[in-house]
Amino acid sequence: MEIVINTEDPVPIFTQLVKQIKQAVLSEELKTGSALPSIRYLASDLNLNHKTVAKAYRILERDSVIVTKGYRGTFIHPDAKANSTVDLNQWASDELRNTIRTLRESGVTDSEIRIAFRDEMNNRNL
Amino acid sequence: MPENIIFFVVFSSQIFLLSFYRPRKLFNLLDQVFETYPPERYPRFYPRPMEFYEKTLKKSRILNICSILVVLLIVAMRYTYLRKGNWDSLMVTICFLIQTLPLILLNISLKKDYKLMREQDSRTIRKAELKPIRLFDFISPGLIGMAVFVYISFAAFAIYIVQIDDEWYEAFYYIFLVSLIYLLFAVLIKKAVFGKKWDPYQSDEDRKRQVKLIVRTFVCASIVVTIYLALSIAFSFAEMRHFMPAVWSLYLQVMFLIPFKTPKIEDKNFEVYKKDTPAVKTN
Repeated sequence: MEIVINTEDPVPIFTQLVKQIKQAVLSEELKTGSALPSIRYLASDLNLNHKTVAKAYRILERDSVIVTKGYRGTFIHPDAKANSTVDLNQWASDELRNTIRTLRESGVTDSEIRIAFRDEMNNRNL
Repeated sequence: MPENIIFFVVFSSQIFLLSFYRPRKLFNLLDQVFETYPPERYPRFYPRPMEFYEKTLKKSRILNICSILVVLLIVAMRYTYLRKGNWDSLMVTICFLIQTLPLILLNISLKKDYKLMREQDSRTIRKAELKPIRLFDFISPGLIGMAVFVYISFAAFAIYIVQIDDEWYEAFYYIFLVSLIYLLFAVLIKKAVFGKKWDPYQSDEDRKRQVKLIVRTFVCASIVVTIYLALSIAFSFAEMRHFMPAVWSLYLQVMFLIPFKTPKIEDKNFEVYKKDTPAVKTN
C-alpha cells in the first residue's frame, strides 16, 4: 500500500497519514494483523520529521486502528475496520456544536461560552 | 626466515590492494559516473557545482599517490636505514591508516552531499510503501547463523585455552571484546536497516541493495574479527607471535575489502536524479 503525502496541502501531514491508513484499512488493503513500518523508517522514507509520523501513529493507536506490541512493532488492530469509521474529530465537533447551540438557546453569550470553554480546558482536574 | 617471506608476500598484497587496485577502481567508477550522468541531465545527483567534484577527485588521486610514497618510504626506512627487518603489527596499522586515508576523506566529503540533497529536495508530493521491513529481507538466516556459530565456537575455544593453561585468563578479555564488537555491529546493522535514508531520491531497489551490502558487510566483518582473534590467541599460545604482523595485515585487507564491493553503475537507478522526475516511490 502506498502512502502519498502532499506537503502543500492545507490538511496537516499527520492527518493525511491517519486518513490514508484508515482508508486502507476500510478498503482492506491493510488487513488485521498486518505489520506497519517503524515510525523512524516511515519518516525517513517520506523525508518527514519522525514526530509527525509518531503523532499519526498515536492517533491511530488511540482510535484502536493500530496496536503497538513493544519491540515487535506496530500492527493493524483486530477491530481496525470497525474503528476506522469512527472519526473522533468529527464526533468532538458535533458534540461541541450541539452544546454551543443549547447554550445559545439558553441565552448564554458567545464571550461567556468562550470564557467557560477556556476555563474548563485549563481545568487540570478534568 | 619463513615469517619474513610470508610477511613480505602479505604486505605486498596490502600495498597492491589498498593503494593501487581499490583506489583505481573507485576513481574510475567516479569518472564513469560523472561522464555517463552529467549534472546537466541529472542535477539532483550533484548538490554542489561540478567543479567541486572534479577538484575533490583530483585531490584524492594526489593524496593517494602521496600515501603510496609515504608507505614506500616507511618500508625503505625499515629495511635500509634502520637495518631492521622485523615488522610489528603497529607498523602495519600505521601503513594501513595512511593507505586508507585518501578514500576515507573522499567518502566523508561525498557523504556531506546527502545532507545537501535533503535540504534541496523541494518535492511537495512524497510517496512511500507502507510495508514493514525485516532483518531477513536483507540477509540470509544462514549467514546470521554462521556468525552466531563462530561466536559460540570462539567462546568455547577461549574457555578451552584457559582450562589447559591457567595463566590464559585473558582469553575472557577476548570473549568480552568479541561480544562488544558483535553488539556494536548489531547497533550499526539496526541503524542501517531501520534508520534514516541518506539519499532522499534513492529508489527502492537501490536502497535495498545498499542496506543488503551494509548488513552483509557487518555480519562478515564480525565473523572475520572473531576468526582473527581466535588466530591471535592460538598464535600467542603456540609461541608463534612472529607470524602475527602477517596475519594482522591479512586481516586488515579483508576488513577493508569486504565493504568495498564495487557497485555496478548500470544497476543504480539514475532516473530519480533527473530534474523533471515526479515524486517517486521511495520504498
